[in-house]
Amino acid sequence: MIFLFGHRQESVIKFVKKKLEQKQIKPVMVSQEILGNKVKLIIRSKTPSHIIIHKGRKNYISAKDIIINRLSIYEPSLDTFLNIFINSCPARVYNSYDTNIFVSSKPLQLVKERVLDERWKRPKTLITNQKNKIIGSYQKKWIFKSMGGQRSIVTKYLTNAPRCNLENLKSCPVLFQEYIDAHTCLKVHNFGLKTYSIQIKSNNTDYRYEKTTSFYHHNGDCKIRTIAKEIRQKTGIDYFDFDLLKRGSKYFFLEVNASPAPSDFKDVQKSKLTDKFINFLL
Amino acid sequence: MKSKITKVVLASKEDSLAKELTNYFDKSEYLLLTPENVINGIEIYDEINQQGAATCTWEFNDTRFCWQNLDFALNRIRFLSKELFDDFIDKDKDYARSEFTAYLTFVLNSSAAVFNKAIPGHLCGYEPTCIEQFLTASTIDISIPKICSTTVWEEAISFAKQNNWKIISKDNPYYTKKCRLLNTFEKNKILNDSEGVYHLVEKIEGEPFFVTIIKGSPFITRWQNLSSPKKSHMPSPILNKILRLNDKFNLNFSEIKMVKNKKGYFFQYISALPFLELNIPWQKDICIELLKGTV
Repeated sequence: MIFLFGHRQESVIKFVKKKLEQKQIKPVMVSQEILGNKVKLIIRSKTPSHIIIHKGRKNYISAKDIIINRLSIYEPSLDTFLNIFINSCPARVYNSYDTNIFVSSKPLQLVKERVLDERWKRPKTLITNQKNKIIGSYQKKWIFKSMGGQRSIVTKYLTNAPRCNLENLKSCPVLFQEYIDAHTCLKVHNFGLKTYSIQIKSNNTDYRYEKTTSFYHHNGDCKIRTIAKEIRQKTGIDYFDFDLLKRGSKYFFLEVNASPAPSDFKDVQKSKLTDKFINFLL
Repeated sequence: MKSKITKVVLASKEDSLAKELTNYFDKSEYLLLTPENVINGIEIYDEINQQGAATCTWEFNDTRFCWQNLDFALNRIRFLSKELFDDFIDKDKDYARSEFTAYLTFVLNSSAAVFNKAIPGHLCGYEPTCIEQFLTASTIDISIPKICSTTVWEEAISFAKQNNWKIISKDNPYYTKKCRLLNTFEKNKILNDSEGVYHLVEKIEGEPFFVTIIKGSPFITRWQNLSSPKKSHMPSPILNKILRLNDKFNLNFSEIKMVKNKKGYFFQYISALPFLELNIPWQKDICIELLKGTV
């Protein structure tokens, strides 16, 4: 059985459900909205330990089952029980709460012991709540973005321009990163032992907020595959995406995301990313 | 600037270890930072270079220190409470909390001096919900009480009737001080409410044992004799399993509660914040050694 944990209207959930139904596979939706009503859950010390009751039928969860988890890590009070269920059950899970939270601190990802060793470059990074004292002392252009998993818009830091909500954040540290004037921006998906690269072209620093952003199939190369392998080995996860910038022959690592959305790239015909994702699941 | 600080402890002023720190050490040696200090009082000047090496420099009042140059650091802040962010504007409160949490996770993981390393989601070290603790313990063959977490009301009633049951908590499966008392509720009061999630645990009668583990060394005390920790209080096969459980959680500093009865030893909880109250002399002695960095 395939179980989809998340919100029914979430784009990846909708997409995966549709793709599976095209293959005559009916996944079971588990969301907070229908919990206790259409779907009931039990965890117990007796084996089999995890049970999902769907339309009155008991499904005893085993290693053969698959859970696709799209619950946000920032709704703990709402989804705690669902996350406990996912964390502790014997099914194949993409990805559990613990896995998602494992990569939730962006500065921690940059530390060499964590995701990639010192052979790979990352943009020079400053974290400060005293930006006026230190940012100006570096002869560099900077971007700033969030450190946690809550979404923020990656923004160029201009000393002479209004800076979004930055001034409101008072004592809160802000992550500044050296602006890399890259010729290639890549989103690389890792499914199991395979990697698939998408090239992103955008006029905006943060491509997600630019309507004219376009995506292209990218062949990838040996370095990208090596980076993916190292991330798999250091994090122990095999379903993720990561962002790279390329300047000259050098790659700069930006971050790993354990909750990828391959469906965002469904229009990149040549890459067939979404088909590869579904094949990986099955 | 103040003389060189070699120890940093993050803790509330009421914390037992923070009290020992202020009682036994000279102020020139250490810095005690409360959660309020961390949120509102520190200046942060951190850098991660292109090779991934971190340098975390904090300034608090007249003291500046680098986390990577400390001899010893201990964190007793389990999580950042919502109230700490009351001074932020409404729309930024959750964001600031998430940012500070991600940031502290980074700092408390990037210095070798930190005794109890943070991991994402757990600032003091890995401490999942009690249900996950029970299930983890059972994977290494430690006896656990019968448990049942469910959204099915009828299942909860049936489990409760079959077992000498108690409810750890309704809806919230995290151990709090209150939950740790494992209060038994009156059946009717709880089970009248059919909404939500029930976390039920079989009540195990017997004598409690506490195993405090510091850097892999266990200190075992019996409820009847808390003043004297001895390894002989527990058979070594049980103790070895407990040490394996601790390794699984990767904790340098932890407390595990077991209950012994005629059927054997049963796991109750593992905590990454031992010694919340220090009433016993040997605990004080160990704390001082720990804070000296000589444990």
